[in-house]
Amino acid sequence: MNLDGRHLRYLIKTRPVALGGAVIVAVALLLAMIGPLIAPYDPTTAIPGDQLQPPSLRHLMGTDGNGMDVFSRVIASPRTDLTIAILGTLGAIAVGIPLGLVAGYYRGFLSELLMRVSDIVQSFPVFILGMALVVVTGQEIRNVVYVVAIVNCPIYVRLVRGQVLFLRERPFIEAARVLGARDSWLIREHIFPNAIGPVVANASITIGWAILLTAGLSFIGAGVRVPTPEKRQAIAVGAKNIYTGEWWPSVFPGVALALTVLGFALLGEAMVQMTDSTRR
Amino acid sequence: MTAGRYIIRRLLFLVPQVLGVTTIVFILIRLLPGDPAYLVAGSLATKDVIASIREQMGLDRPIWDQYLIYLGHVARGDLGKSWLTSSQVTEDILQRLPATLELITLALILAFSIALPLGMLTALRPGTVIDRIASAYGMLAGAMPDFWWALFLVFLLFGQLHVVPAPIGRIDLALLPPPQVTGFYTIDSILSGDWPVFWSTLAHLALPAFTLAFVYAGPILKMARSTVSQALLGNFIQYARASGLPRRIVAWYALRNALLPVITMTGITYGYLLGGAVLIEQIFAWGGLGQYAVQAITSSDYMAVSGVVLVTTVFSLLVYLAVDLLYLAVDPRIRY
Repeated sequence: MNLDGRHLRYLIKTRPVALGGAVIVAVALLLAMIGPLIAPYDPTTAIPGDQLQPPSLRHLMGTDGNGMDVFSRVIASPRTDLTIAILGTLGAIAVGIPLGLVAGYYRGFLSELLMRVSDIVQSFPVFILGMALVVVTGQEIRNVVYVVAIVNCPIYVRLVRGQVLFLRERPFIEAARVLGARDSWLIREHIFPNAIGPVVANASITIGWAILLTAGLSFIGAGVRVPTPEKRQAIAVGAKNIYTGEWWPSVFPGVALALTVLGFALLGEAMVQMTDSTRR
Repeated sequence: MTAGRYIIRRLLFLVPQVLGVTTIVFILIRLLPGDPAYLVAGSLATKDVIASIREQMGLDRPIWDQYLIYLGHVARGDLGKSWLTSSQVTEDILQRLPATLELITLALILAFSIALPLGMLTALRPGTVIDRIASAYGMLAGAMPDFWWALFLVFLLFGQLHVVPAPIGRIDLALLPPPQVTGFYTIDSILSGDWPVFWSTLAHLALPAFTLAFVYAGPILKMARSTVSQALLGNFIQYARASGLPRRIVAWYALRNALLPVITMTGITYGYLLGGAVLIEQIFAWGGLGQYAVQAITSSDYMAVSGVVLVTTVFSLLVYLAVDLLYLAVDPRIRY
């Protein structure tokens, strides 16, 4: 992947939108690290008598139905949000890459089998399965991570396989093979580094998607339990309040969620274009 | 490999695929904690009652036997009995499937007919105001969860402006559903000539279908734009332009070449939405497959959950297969 300084500067000049995405992602990552420390109130403690206060100087984004400070929860939530999304995506990549390398390099029955199994996994109703798994095995962060990893794995198998199919016919691979290179060495030294670009780029998109999936799970009550600050949770609980005119518990986290997803999507899109030689 | 052999091979693969799905679903049911017999019997049941229920359900036999029994039942279309509705899961699903299909079919027809022309237009005129608005929309619509849009639109269009009916069910509570032929209320009401029901159905469909279309048209739009602009770079387009063909015809050439990926995208979204419109169904009290799944999961109705998972997965597999075969039929360049 050609991700050197020159490329980066070129991108910043020609694609300010991508830069915006990168900034949002950076802020989200920073908040994931220090968010809970800088929140003005404890994001998991209800303040007695302060339920559903409108935004004010005391509570910048108001308080929710439990009397928790919305601003503190928005700031503290990336820790949970991003942990789930990033770990799930890493899991999908960790399993997807080796399978994709095998499926692409050794064509024939094994490859076909892997693809058809991918079909099955991709055909599973993601949401229903996620809900069932989380409800049954307990509402823990770990389980949401597994769901994200499993359902996204086939995407990376396909992605890597496509790259390998294209790479393995290239002259430099052929040359190495003629020189007597072994398969394992070829895959490790030449195929893998060249196939990894789109994977990295797509990871950003998967992370955004994972944030949305967990949002849905939380909405139905199958996500992380209430005190843990997590944006989507807040939106879902706050949604009931919209009807009675108290919009702040769901709108602020909603906007924060949209910004985060958008940031990852923009960054991912830019990276896909960067790593795709036909679209540079 | 000829097209015929490819089709046969794909169809042959469908058998082990469905078998694989069934196996995974069976393992999932087995992995779930708790003894199903206790759930059926209730908390007051004696040991003897539970033992007899275990025997009745085949739970006392070895796991391998249970698996074969389960396969046998599924092969005969018997997905077990729901503990919640106390009727056959197959019947429950068949009863609710049309509601979901009607909703997502309309939603995707809407999404497709928004996304394709818009993607085409923006590809033909890159950099214009429309292009920027469309690409901003493509990004933004997908950045918010569909349930957020649904709640927002219900609040705005029902709560404030009163232009759509209350988000409760598929038709007005005062009306009777049309006599069932297809299970699609729109088609059934036309068949029976019941116009009040038809209009009520449309009014109730409008908002959930629009919400889904609005959210899921984004990726289709992006796909349409990128494939049409890719096609416009092709040599055959250059040639058509150089030959002095009118813009309209050149655009048609590009569209025809870009259509397949867009159809694929729509097909994949269709498969996804069958089990993915759960939250929208929940918000609009739609009574479809998704809501059934939620009920089943929250009440530990394992047979119902596994039935829904099985049916939606196989349905998605069939949709993907259909899309692949469509490629083969339409695109002369593809030879397997």
